[in-house]
Amino acid sequence: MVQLIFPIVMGIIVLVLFRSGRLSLDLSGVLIAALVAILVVTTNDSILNALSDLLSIVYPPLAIVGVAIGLLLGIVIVLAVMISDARRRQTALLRRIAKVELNQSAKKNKT
Amino acid sequence: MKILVFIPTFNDRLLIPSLVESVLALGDQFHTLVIDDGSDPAIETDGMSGSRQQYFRCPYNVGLGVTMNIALDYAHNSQFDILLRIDADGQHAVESLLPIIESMVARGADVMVGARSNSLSFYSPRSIIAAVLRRHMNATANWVSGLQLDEWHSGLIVLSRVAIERLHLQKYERYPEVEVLLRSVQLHLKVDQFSITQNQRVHGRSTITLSGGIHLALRFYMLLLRHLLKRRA
Repeated sequence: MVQLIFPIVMGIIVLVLFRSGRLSLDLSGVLIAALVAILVVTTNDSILNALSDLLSIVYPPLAIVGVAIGLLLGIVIVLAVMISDARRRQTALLRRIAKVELNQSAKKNKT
Repeated sequence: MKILVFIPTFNDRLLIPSLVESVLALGDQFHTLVIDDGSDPAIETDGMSGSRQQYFRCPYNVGLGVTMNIALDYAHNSQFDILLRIDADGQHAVESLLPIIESMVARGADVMVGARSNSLSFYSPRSIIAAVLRRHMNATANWVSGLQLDEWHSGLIVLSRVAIERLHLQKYERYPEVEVLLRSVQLHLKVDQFSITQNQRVHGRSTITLSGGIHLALRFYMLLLRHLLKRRA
């Protein structure tokens, strides 16, 4: 049950940021897909054991792995918000440039 | 009535001059706005100047959503009555533009979608998978939005003055076809559809690859999820 808390909390954070428009469509889609994958892996013992065998982990140190992934995802989310913000500003700038150029062009065409 | 036909293009260059010419030949009320979304090399603009023709080149590929925003800003500032978006690959017959506008006015719709009656093909395993996925996406989007549209991915969209005024305030990302429709529902605009026949692509090929298709589907479902979250709030 405890293992469910992490992906669910992260998922809620991502959805809230996505809904408010602070996280871009592309970045939030990838994050949600990653969180769903983590949720499936953590809730299914057979998949988790198969994965542990594949990676030669005899005693899956779940707590440490969870904390490490949590920290990494936290950093990724913060970076994703920053990238989304930068893109929003860039888009606003481009819209402004387009508006000025098209207005100038329309005036030139009239004269 | 001032009508702006917006043609976004990314590396689809061959048909642009003839497309612009055919649109302008429809009547004096028609104006064109070609937005080159960072094509490499840039689209030739020779012969694309005149009082009813506009051209803007994005310095790099910014995506369809931003080009839609630029077109909406221009339509709003220049007080166009209708904004009509068509694809640059010639798949939308120019002859269908007037009937779709007349139909929109007659039905009192704010947003009209050109639903392609022949968009689903079953000639290869890939096209079958694409058709099944598209049907599923259409059904899900209809269920989530409450609309009853046959086509959610059409590049032929017509917006009335009211729709331009409300939709230009929104920001669009990489899937404006769906975003415009979902925003229209949120803004209580009347959305309707008009059946059109899609022309076969003559030049170039679709830029949608398998990974691109998966990405599009992910974007599509994320947009529906956001719509659901906003509706619940």
